[in-house]
Amino acid sequence: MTSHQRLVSALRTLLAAAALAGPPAIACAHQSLYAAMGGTKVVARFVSQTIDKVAADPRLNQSFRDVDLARVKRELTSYICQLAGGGCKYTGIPIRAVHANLGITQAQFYGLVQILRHQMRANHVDLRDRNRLLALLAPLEPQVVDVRVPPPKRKD
Amino acid sequence: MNRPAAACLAACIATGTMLTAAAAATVRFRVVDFAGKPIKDAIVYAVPDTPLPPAKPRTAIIDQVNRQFVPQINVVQVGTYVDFPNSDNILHSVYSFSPAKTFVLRLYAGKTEPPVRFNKPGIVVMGCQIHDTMIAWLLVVKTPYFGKTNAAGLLVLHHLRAGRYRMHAWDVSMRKVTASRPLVVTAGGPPRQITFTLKAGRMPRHGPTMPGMSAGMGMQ
Repeated sequence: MTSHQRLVSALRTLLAAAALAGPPAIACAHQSLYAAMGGTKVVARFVSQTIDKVAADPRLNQSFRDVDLARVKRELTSYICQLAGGGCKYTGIPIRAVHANLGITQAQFYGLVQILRHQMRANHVDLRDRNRLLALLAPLEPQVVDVRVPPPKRKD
Repeated sequence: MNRPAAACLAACIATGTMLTAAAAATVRFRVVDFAGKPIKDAIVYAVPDTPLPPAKPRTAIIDQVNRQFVPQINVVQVGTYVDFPNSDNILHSVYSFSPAKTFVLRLYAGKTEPPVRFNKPGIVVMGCQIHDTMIAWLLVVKTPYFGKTNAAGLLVLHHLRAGRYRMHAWDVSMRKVTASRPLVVTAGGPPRQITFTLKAGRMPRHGPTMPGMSAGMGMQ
């Protein structure tokens, strides 16, 4: 087992555990996950730091070549806001369409997840809230990793 | 037979005159910078003072290949459709805020989009909202007499009808203006040679800035 396979396996266990754990028994009924993480101020910050680190990492940044990172940060923050009950409506491009034919590997996907975990921790997001967000993001894997769409058939 | 000649033939038949070789002229253009070095991919076009009969709409292609527009520098006649075939088959969001044509065209993997029609003259600068190093120019001109210089800075325009023209030359570094001067084409005689001297520069590395777009992200 290579180190990256070990990492993927560990992260999968973690995500599965986070998903199984469900909502904590004493969750604040009126507070969303988004608010619990610190709202836009904190989320926009850890998203920005995550994207910068991924884009600077030669093992992970293949799909980010020439990409407008400021836009990615805005869109991802908005997406997380919607996903985590922050009251946003994500008006961006569907996740699968964004990633189609970029050749993103599973290692790259989990590499980003790993950096995201670190940046959430660095921004003092609770372990419980970190796991809740990862559990919400985990089902995106099939819409991100190795999404292949054949070219359209042209009439001419 | 190329299009200007075909247009002339149709017009000449319509007015009951004969098409003769002497009715059209050839003009050779050379575009150089102030150091005398040839400028490649400069656009030259000659607009007749007397408008020509409307041309049948054509379709040009600006492709997306390896996260770049191909070609980056383009010229078409007013009314032309431009197809964006998206050969790299990844998501692009082509946009322009140029007054001559404002549009956003989402190109999704696996899908085709109808071509975009350019029916106002002017300079259209295009970018991609996803890939900020993508940039392309499209000059939309009121004439069928146009072309792009080769590596030697040369371009030949054929079949110009005798008459008065305003000729223009443009290099990407000139952004939104063209250099222009009058031209009188007389039928017959040897081909005219015209040299344009332009201030050439580097192509910008990033797409046009998007006024008001940075706020539009759905955060409420």
